Amino acid sequence: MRKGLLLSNVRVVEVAEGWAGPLAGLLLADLGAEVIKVESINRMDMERGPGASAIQTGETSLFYPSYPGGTLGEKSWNCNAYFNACNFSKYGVTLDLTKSKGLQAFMRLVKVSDVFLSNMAAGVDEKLGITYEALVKVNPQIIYLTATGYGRTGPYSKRVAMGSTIDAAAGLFGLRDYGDGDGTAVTSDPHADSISAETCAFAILAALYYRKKMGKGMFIDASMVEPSMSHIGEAIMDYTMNHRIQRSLGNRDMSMTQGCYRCKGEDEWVTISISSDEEWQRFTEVIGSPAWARDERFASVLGRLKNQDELDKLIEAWTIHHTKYEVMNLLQQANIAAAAVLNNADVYSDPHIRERGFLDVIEDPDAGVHTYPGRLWKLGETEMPKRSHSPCLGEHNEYVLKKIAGLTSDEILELEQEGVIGTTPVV
Amino acid sequence: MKGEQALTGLKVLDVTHYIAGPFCTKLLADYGADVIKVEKPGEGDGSRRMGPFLDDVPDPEKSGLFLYLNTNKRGITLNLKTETGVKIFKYLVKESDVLVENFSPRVMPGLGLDYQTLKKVKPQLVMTSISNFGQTGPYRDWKATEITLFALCGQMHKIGDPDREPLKHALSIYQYFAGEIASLATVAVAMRSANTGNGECIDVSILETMLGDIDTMINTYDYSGDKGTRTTAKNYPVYPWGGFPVKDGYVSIQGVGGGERWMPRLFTMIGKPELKDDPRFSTPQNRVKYRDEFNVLLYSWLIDHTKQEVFDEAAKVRYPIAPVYNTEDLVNNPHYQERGYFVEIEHPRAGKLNYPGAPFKMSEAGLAIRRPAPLLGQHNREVYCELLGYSEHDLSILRRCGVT
Repeated sequence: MRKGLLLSNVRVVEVAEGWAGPLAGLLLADLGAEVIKVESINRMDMERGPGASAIQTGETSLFYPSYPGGTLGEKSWNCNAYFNACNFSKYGVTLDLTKSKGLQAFMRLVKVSDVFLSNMAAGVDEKLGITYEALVKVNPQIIYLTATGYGRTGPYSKRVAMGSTIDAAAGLFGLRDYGDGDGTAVTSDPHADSISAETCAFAILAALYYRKKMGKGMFIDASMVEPSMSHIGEAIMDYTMNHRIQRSLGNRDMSMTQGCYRCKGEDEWVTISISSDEEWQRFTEVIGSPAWARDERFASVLGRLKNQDELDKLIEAWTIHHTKYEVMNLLQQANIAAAAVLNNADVYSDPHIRERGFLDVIEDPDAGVHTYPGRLWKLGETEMPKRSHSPCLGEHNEYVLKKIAGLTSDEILELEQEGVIGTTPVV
Repeated sequence: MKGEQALTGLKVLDVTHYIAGPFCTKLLADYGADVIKVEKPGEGDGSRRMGPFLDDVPDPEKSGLFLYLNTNKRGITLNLKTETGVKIFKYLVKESDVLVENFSPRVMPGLGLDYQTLKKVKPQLVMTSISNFGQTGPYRDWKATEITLFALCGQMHKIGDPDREPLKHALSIYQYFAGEIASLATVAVAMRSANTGNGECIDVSILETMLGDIDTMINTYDYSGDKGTRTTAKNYPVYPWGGFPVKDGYVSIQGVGGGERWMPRLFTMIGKPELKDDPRFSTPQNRVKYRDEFNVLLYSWLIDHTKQEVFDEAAKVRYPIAPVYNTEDLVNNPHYQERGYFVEIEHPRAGKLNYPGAPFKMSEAGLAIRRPAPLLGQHNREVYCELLGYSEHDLSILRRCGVT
């Protein structure tokens, strides 16, 4: 195994918050880019959770599950599980960009960087004076990516968006229900944030590839909604080809006998997918070849789909007597796609995930030692360095401003005295 | 250079099928890479059989899924179960920077095409493998569908009605998600290989990409012992949050848990700005406690408005609400149309159709449609004769022997 990084000569300035933007930065950091995360003590990444005033009003109790021990301790902004899972290996710097000295220091960072990554709402870049036009003056080769809900052009370009509203606007929400079209029976889902993140990372890598060939940077307009639509291609094509509006089938499938069935225990479930006559045969053998399994109505793929209401009851009458793991193991041994529906605790101790070495154990200065999902790819020939913890607020002010931006100690002290930088949120 | 796209010059050999692998190579191809897709003679990629089909008539050249996932690729047929086929495959590897495959993990080694072997053929090769569970581990050879993986990643447990069974996500979106992760890792590694001459193999497990999705099962449990529960607008710990009925469908409302500055905007939207001083609704805890009372006010306003009207009203007060669009809404939406998201592509058999287009816009060198998805074996002559130097006569022998 070689040691080393992939993007060892790439420096990214990240002005992003929440999930989508920081996760894009994390994907680049995981590939070896040097990512400088810029926040402000007046406006830290919202994923750090509430600042001091909100803590006093008790506004935060809803988010206790994401803090160590389920309670809000000291320096809670450095202790949020979500934040701490999205920002590994980044340098954390605070710079109040609404103050001219903050903006000046920021531009010195831009000058020596390759990529600017942001998911600020449309218009914030203009307000702060960090538009593409402003940055390209300082660094003509900069790759500038702005990620917004709906993109920077078009009638919705100024609309507020979150991952879970994009989920609806991109058509994903409408394809996720129990098959009865009831949109109140499912929660909004922030998966669009993750789609946006990986898309931003891919876009930046493609732009870096281009810059290497052509010596030119570029402006990238990345919406959250367009890449999300690109993940439901077959449903969109069905509309453009056949004018058919696809609806959710719930847990069922167009061609497989598929469902989620109750198992022994409290809120315990298993999913089963049976795709062919051969699999159906093996399935009936596993469950002990009961008489009903020979029923003519279930003897073909089409018959099983047509009579699935009844079939589901019969299958559940078997699964209910077994644990989810028993059903999964029995069926997987017969080469049938079955899976226990795992809760957080089950996932945490899952033997496959453990044996793959997927999890990272990382110590944060304030949050302590915790376990996180690891990098989303494994390299066969290269040993990537261990990730370091997500930065505490302003943790690397000194290092970044001195070594990278080239400020003097006196200048840094001045910034501190004037409240341009700091390590404690003001709010 | 005219027509130079971001990834122009990257040479990709593609032995992928269904969704995750083809979406990975589609992204590479749409942004300029030269992708040669290898399919099984006679049958081709399994997605050719999956549909949806044009006019609902099953035809391997008219599957919407295949047509969408394989734009900009050249297509050849090659039988990897023949010795000659494997030999020719190695010639193709020699001509490529990147190889992407998404067979189950035993297949490539079974064909004698594992990374260690191919590395000898081409030391700089970047080989990307996408599989359900990864190339190692106790579940490696288990069978999986989208719902199997969604159940095992811990997210399914939390989706749906708390009084009903857990619910699957839409369609096959996590196959796409994993394919895209693979594409970005591939470009990063290919850039290094071009610099150093060092090859690499990349192992992407679809299950792991789901676990790294930010709805963080693992670290939430690690931090607080929270096992996760299913939530809807009925019981979500933030209110309002989730799907709400309107005159012609649903809208999704995000509650913005910690952001009290947002709530007065919602009160203004429903014509009751005075609610900001109502103690029942002025704190997050109380809004959850008085959920039913708030529902009466919210529902009665929403039901008088269409989803588009609600979306427009929410935009005026700057509150995050969006309509639950179906695919008809998407294709006919003026915003997506103005941005030119849907692109018309002409295919020799399927004709002119609108496809989802650029997932992001570059100021230069962005997505371009150079060719539609290939017919089965469409580029055999071009690739075997022009690239590898076989004669037309050789090609006819290879066809007769079942190699191409």
